[in-house]
Amino acid sequence: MEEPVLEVKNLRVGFRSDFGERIVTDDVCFHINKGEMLGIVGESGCGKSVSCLAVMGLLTANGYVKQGQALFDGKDLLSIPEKELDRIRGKDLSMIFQDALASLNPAFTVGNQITEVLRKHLHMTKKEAEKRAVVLLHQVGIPDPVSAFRRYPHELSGGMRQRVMIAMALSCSPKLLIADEPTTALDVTIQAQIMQLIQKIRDDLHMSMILITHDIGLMAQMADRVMVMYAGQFIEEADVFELFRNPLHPYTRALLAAAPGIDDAKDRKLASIRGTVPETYWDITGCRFCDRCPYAQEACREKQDMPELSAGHYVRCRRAGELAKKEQKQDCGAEG
Amino acid sequence: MEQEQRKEKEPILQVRDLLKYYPQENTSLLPRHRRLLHAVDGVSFELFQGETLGLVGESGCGKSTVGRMLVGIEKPTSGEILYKKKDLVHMPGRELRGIRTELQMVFQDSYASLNPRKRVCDILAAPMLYHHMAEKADVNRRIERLLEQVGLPKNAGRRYPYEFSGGQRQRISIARALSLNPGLIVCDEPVSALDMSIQAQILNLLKELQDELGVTYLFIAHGLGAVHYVSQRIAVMYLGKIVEIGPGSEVFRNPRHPYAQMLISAVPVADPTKRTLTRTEIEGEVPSAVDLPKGCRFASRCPYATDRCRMSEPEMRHTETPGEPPHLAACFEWERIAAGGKENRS
Repeated sequence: MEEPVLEVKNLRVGFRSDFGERIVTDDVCFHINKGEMLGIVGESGCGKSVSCLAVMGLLTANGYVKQGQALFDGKDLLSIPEKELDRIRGKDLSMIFQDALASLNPAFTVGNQITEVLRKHLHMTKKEAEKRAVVLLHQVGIPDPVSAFRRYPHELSGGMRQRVMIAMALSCSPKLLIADEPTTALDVTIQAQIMQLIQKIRDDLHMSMILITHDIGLMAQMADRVMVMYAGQFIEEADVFELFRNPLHPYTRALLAAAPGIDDAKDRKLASIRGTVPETYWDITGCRFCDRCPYAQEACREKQDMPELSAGHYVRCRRAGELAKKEQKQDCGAEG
Repeated sequence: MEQEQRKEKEPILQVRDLLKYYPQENTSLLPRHRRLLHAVDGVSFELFQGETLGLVGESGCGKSTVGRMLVGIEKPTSGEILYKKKDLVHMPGRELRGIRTELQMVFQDSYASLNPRKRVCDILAAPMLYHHMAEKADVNRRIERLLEQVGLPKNAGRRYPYEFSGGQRQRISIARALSLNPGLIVCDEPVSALDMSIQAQILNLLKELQDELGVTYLFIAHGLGAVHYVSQRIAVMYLGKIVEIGPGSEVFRNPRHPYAQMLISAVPVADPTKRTLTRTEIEGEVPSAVDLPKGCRFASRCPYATDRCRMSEPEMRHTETPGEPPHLAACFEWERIAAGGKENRS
């Protein structure tokens, strides 16, 4: 069995506020294998970004890691001193964010910000770093990289800014890249271009990657393995083909049935999930989807495990296996 | 046959040659060098009673500006907007105020478009009282009915907008738009700020209301899946112009204009066995709407562009086979492209 690049164990992230403590991720466990693209999908506020920010040590001041481990290169990122983390972050472990304008410093040129990374982590001279930065800008498909090098972030379009972010993130050839909704703010044609770029880089560098998104389509197009998150918990994990062919958790099924596609039949009716995500979900001990689930039973209010139902397919739903079988029977009945 | 049917159906709204230019700040030293941003540059279309026209395009293409001009938030530079055959652009203010009730809008950001200091019942009552659409005594009953129609509890009226989730706030916006019994509702990105499961609720609500009340929608959005779901017809905009307009399923399955083809191929399909996203060819970015090129606006990014495309601007032409519903596209080369596409496929 191959060693995973990153392994997160029992991560519990909390936020302090005037109203007390909120535990937003509940014993989250996940790992990324070498060269793999892991997709994390879920609605806003489900804890998908927070889990990754915690791993990067980038939580806001009122956020903290209550317990858990994040093993990267044999080191626990959550317990090593800040100085040591600084040596890893931006070098072996990189992240790109949704809002590239907010992530770039408006007061410095693009070139200045890329060379800073190269000089700090790879100890290049100014001249070397400048040369390398122009090459990087060229690699991410920026036309006229020499002039882009001298520009300020506000002078570039949204797509170009995201390319600069990617160039920065890749400058030290990281082992793992975390992309948090990298194209959500962009138009679809620009999104397609950025995804093509990411795909090419992955093929060239054999880099591992986590893609966080709420876009089901993007997940289907890009990920190797998908983890679905709901209210601070992972509720389903499977290979991308398996997940789309055979979604087992009622929430995953509903999520797939709620996404309108451009090749849908004209009479398709979107399934909407009744109600909303519970606001204080950290107090719920049982299944957190229970109140919105059409299959909920009394026993669903007890603590739920996440067993492996078939090879590599984990589901946090005690009725998942039973429901799948029932459906198979119905299908057979309909055919016969 | 189709012609006859169309003759019977009178359009509720006709837009002709709509133009909106924004003057740019003068950065040049020459005093007369005034530059214009061509946000909307000659848009014409018709809307029929009870249908939904989806208006799609990338950010900055002018789709929202078109919507805002219809409801009177922006004043067109020139052009005509005929609502039930009356020209809204040149109508005197008093008359316009009366007809405004018929054209309502739902915005993307339901938080910014609902007054945070007013209770929901006051938000819903204000337009009805202003336009004398309801008596004071009758208002509460109307509000309850509206809340019920959009799927909110009756007592929601006593609460403030911040007490509701994004999806519920969008329901309040829809209730407000419905309060004046409008003929046309412009929905400007009504679901793009919402989560997937909530999006489906709102899209289904809009459809149900249309079946129930016969209201007409102009549905503006960049999420093509959502547009496809609610619209009977689709118009694709690029740099201030409509480049293609036709029946929804045809535009999505068989787009004529190279830009529409590019846009549709860039939508990620939720099926891992059809991985086409990283294989489609997409060139360049949308150029600035300040210095527009001569000729077809898409020529600089178009793989099929010829000298003719770069010299003169194509008009909208019918592309449907006779007998089919109208499907127009502004491209000189669409026949050649369509023929080439088929050859490649076979």
